[in-house]
Amino acid sequence: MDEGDLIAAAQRGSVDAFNELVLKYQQQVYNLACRIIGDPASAADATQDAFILAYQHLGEFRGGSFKSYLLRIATNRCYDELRRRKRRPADSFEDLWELDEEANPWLINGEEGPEEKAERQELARLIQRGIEMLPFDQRVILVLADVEGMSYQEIAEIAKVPVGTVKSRLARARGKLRDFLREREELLPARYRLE
Amino acid sequence: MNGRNFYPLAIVLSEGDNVGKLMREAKKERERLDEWLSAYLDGQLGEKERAQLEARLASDERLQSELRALRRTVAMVRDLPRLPVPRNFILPQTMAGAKRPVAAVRSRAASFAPWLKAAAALVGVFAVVTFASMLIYLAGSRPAATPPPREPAPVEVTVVVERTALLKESEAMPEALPQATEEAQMLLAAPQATGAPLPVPKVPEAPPTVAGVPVTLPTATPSAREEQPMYDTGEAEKRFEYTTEHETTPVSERVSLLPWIVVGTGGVILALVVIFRLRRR
Repeated sequence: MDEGDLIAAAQRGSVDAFNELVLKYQQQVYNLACRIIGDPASAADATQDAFILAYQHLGEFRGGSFKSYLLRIATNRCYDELRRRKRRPADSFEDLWELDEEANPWLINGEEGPEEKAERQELARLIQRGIEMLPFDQRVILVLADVEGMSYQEIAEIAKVPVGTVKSRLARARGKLRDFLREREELLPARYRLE
Repeated sequence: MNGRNFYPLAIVLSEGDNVGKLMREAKKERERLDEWLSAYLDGQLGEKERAQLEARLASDERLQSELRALRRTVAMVRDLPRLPVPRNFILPQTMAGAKRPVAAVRSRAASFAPWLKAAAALVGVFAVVTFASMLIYLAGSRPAATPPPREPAPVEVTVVVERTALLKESEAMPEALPQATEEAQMLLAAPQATGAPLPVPKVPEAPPTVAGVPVTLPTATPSAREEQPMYDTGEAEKRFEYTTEHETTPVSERVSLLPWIVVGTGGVILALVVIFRLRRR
C-alpha cells in the first residue's frame, strides 16, 4: 500500500495502517524532538504523544504532505514540553550523547581511533548546546533545515510561516551558532575549527 | 540585494559618536550580511545578487572569512549523527476505539487560554456594569409623566452682576437688574416650567461618575464651579451661582448615551464569543 492508501485506511480506523506510517516516520520525529528538547527521555514522550495526537486528529488531515502534518504536531508537542520544563527546572536529563556502542553499532567507526571518537562526541555535545541556546523559533527552523535536510518550502508548511521568514530565521540561527562556536573555538577539535 | 552595497564589517569610531547606536547599526548590518551569505550557501540568491556577492567576495577577505565560518558551521550541524529510536512508537490496537481527547492539538495560543478567559470575563463584567449604569442613569434623569411633589430644597441664591466695559456704556443696565432677579426666582420656583422653555444655566456636559455610577454633587464653593453665562441680553452679562443639594441634568443637556450602549453591548458580545471559542477548543 502506498502512503495515500495507508492514510485513507487509518482514517477509516485502521490502527495497523497508521502504525505503518509510524514505523516510516518515527526516527525523523524522534530526532527532531531530541534536537529541539535536548533530552532523550522527554523526546521519546513527545514523540509518542505526537503520534497519538496525529492519529486522533487524522480526520482533519485533508491531503498534502503527511510528513509536514506529523512534524507540525511534533514541533508543537516539543514546545509544550519545553514550557513544562521551564516551569519545573528540577528535572534531570541524560546526556544525549552518551550512546552505548553495543546498542548502537552504527556509532562504531572502524577507521576511527579513540581520540577521534572522543573528539567527534565532544563536538556533537558542543553543537547541541549551541542549538539549545537558540530561541525556539530559530531552533526549529535550523533543525528542520540542517539536521533534517528539509527545503525552505517544506519548513514554511510545517512552521506555518512564509518562506521569507524561514530564510531570515535560518540565517539568524546559523549566525548565532557560528558566533557561539567561535567564542568556544578552543573547545573545538583542531580539524573542526572555524578559522 | 537589489543594488545595495555591502557595508564594511568594521566601523571606525570618531570622537563624539554614539557608541550604542553604532553598535546597533553594526549588528543590523551583520544580520543582513548573514542573511545574504546563508541564502548564498543554500543557492537561494537570484542571479544578479549572486553575481554581486561573488564580486564582493573576490576583493573582501573579511567577508570571505565570514562565509567560510558559516559554511563550516552548517557542515558540522549537517554531520550530526542520526539518533536511533529507543523503541517503536506504534499505537496499541485499543486506540481504534479510543475517544478523541478533550484537549486537542495544543498550540502556543492555548497556553494563554486561562489569561484570555480571565480577560474576557473582566471585559464582560465591565461591559455589563457600564451598560446597567447607563440604563439606571438614563432612567433616573428622565422626566416622569406626573412629576412627584418636590420637597423644597434648601437653596442659596447668589446673584452676581459683573459690569463689563460694555455695561458702563449701556444705559439699560439699571433696568436689567430687576429682570435678572425676577428670572432667577422663576427658575427656583419652577425650573421646568410649562410654556416656553426658559434659558437654563449651562453645566458641565458629563456628570461626575464613580465606576459608571453618577454621584450627587456636593455643595460646591463658588470658586470651584465653572461660571456660566445665564443668558445674554446683549447689554450685560450676568452670572448666577446657586448651590443645591440635589442636582439633575435637564433633558436637553443630557449626554448622548448611544456610544456607551454600543460599547457595552459590544463588550458583552465579545466576551461571550471569546469564552465560547475557548470552551470549544
